[in-house]
Amino acid sequence: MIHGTPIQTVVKEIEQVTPRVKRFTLAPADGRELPRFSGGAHILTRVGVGEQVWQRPYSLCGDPHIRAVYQIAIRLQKNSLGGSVFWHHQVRKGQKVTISWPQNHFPMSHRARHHVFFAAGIGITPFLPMMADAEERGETFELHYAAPTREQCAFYDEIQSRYKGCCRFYFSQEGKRMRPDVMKDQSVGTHVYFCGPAAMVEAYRKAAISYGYPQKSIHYELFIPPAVEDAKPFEVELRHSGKTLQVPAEKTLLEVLLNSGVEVPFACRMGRCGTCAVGVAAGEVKHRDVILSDEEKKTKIVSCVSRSTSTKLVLDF
Amino acid sequence: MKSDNEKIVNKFVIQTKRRKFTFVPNRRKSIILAEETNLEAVDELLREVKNRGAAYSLIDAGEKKEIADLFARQKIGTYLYLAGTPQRIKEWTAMAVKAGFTEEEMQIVCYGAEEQRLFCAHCHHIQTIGKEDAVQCAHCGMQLEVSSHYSRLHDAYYGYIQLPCSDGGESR
Amino acid sequence: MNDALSRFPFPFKKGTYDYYANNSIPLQPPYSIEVTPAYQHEIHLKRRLLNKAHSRCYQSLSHTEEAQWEVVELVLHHLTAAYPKEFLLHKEKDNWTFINQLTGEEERFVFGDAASLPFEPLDFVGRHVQEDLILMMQRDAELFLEAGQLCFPGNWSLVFKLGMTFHEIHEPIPGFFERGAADKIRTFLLHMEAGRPWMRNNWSLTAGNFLDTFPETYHEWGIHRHRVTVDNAGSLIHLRVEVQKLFRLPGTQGILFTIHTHMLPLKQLVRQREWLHRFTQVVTQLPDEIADYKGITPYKQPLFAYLHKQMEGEKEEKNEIRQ
Repeated sequence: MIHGTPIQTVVKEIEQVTPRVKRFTLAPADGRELPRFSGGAHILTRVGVGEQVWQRPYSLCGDPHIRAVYQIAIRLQKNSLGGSVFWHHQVRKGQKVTISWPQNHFPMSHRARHHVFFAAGIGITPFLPMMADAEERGETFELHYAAPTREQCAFYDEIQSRYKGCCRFYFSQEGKRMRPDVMKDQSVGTHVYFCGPAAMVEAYRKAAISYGYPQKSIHYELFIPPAVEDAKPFEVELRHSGKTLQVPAEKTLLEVLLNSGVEVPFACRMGRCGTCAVGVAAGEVKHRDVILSDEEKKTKIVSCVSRSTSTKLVLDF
Repeated sequence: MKSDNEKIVNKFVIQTKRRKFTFVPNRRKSIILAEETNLEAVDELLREVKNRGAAYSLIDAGEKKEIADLFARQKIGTYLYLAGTPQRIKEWTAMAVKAGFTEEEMQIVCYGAEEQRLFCAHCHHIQTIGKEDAVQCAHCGMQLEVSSHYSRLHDAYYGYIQLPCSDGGESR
Repeated sequence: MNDALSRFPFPFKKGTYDYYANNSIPLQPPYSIEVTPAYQHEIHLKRRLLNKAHSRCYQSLSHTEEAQWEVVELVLHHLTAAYPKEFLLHKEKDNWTFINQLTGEEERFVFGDAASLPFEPLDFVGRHVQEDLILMMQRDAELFLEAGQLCFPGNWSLVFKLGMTFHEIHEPIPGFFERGAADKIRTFLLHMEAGRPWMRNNWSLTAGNFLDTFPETYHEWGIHRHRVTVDNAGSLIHLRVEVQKLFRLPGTQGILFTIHTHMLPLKQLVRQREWLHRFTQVVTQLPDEIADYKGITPYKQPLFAYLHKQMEGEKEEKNEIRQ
């Protein structure tokens, strides 16, 4: 049987992988097979109690062949807004977790002649299934993985035993630093992949460009923050029908439009594709998408992420 | 199933409009591959490369095997300038793509006879044609209207069946 | 409304039509297939076409096998979920048995083992559904048409378009690029998510009741475009609507398009006065280049005359029924 959207799961297992990283194994609540996924995919998870709900994307880090469970690994973040704290301290075996179908915004290239992965800390997670996929397809790859110490290096033993010879570890407290110049002497046709803190990704991306990598050979994972800080409610008027709708702080404009029967096409719900852009006739907009041009920003709003800063927004609808 | 993996993902349309190369700076190395010597486009590029003191190699069209090996030895940052007839350019780009080069890592100046291939909508036969707007299929005899719809896989333009009372059109 | 009319996916919600919009809406219920009373007839026709001219109806590239199995999984699960009496699926690990009560067939195969099927996986599963199945693969942020079973094409060639990118496929559509639709729809597809299927309609007109309007046989069916008169327009011209359902395949990142083609002769359409009004408005406002592209230009005059007559309230149906 095929799952609906979203998928209900329960926590089947929790393992302490390093002092700050836990691996959670999620099984479907109804026992049906989970959807397939490919290396680099993530799921959107939803956990919480009562009013307090945490919605977070996490890369799938288990084996892509296993359909009975999904695995995610979560690091307890120092500056956490609460998501990782909740997962680490509140989530117990048997707890219900609502998840999306797997989405892959970080897929491997099909034309690469060689893959080079760079992971910093918990950024290792998407590379675990990617390496499994590459190995199965007979594609060559190498992993460069930085962590403070071996003890804090999640999945060290698993990676060592399975991919010995394809991976190098850099433990900063032992004085070993991972550096972008590993990319420099790669053969033509090499593709590079980065996952880690934003500053690390940016530094590696710039370095890759300076070495002559084509844009399309550079891959990285970008999670857009799930919630707007200080989201305020606002009113929306649909110009053509005269209908008025309320957008509460915890809902997106897109959700409100869809709930009221306005058929806005949408796709990514992350402000990346621009499909759900609608025309604005009046009102101020705080743009949070990454697709509209400056010109388009004057007359459009990407309804899945952007909000109005005025009390009323009039849409060309 | 057809085994055309390489072709599909990487084969690209060769722009025949380009007459001159535009030097791309900040590359680790440039390889200039020309079918003939004394091409104006190549001479101009060479002057520019030398002026800027950029690293380059100028290669005469040699053996296929040697060129394939040369491409395969390249590191990231090598940029290709290819000048030749359509046939030769097709060979070279296929070798470059096999080595891992992408469209963004090369420039092509293509010269010589501009012949094109036409795909028959009725029997799928492909024939070489000149600049006609309409031709008869050499295989099935159907009257075909030459279109601008091009397939990289077939390296051919689409020839619509023309009825005596001509209209055409594809309804998608 | 009779049964055929009530299930006909009339595409015009109003008297205008935006040819360059992304008219996709979320698919509910999320099934890729629909079984209609025409099932037996269309399955029979499909299989006859596949046997007669296989390469015209089926094409695939070698690296699509994994995605083809994902399509088998998706379509068979949808058939059994939506029509549990008509279709049954038993799974014993990878040993699958699929029972089609409508054709009386029982198919046993090993999931993932192409040698256990009489045809390629996509070609196999397509023989049990009325829909055409088109598989696009997403590679390096580009979409390629890499496999398809196409028995009811609206005058487009699967053989020729195999391997093309989204933009290359749509090169012949007038205004599609200039009006920004090509980029908009491509971006939408690239961001489509697994578990969130979509549907859209595509419409055209056909002179003659032909589902299988292959460009390969254009000289046979295309001539009817020149035989339309005001008197035969009602029975000869058909509104052809393709209901397209779009699914992201979670394992291979491919996109499956299922295309269910519905035909309605104008003489039935005009019985719904509201449909007649909207259809007449849309068709009479049709830009010339779209009319050319849809192949309507040769019979535009008799078509308009016929619609005009209908709008005037002529009771032509009765005459046609007598014919």
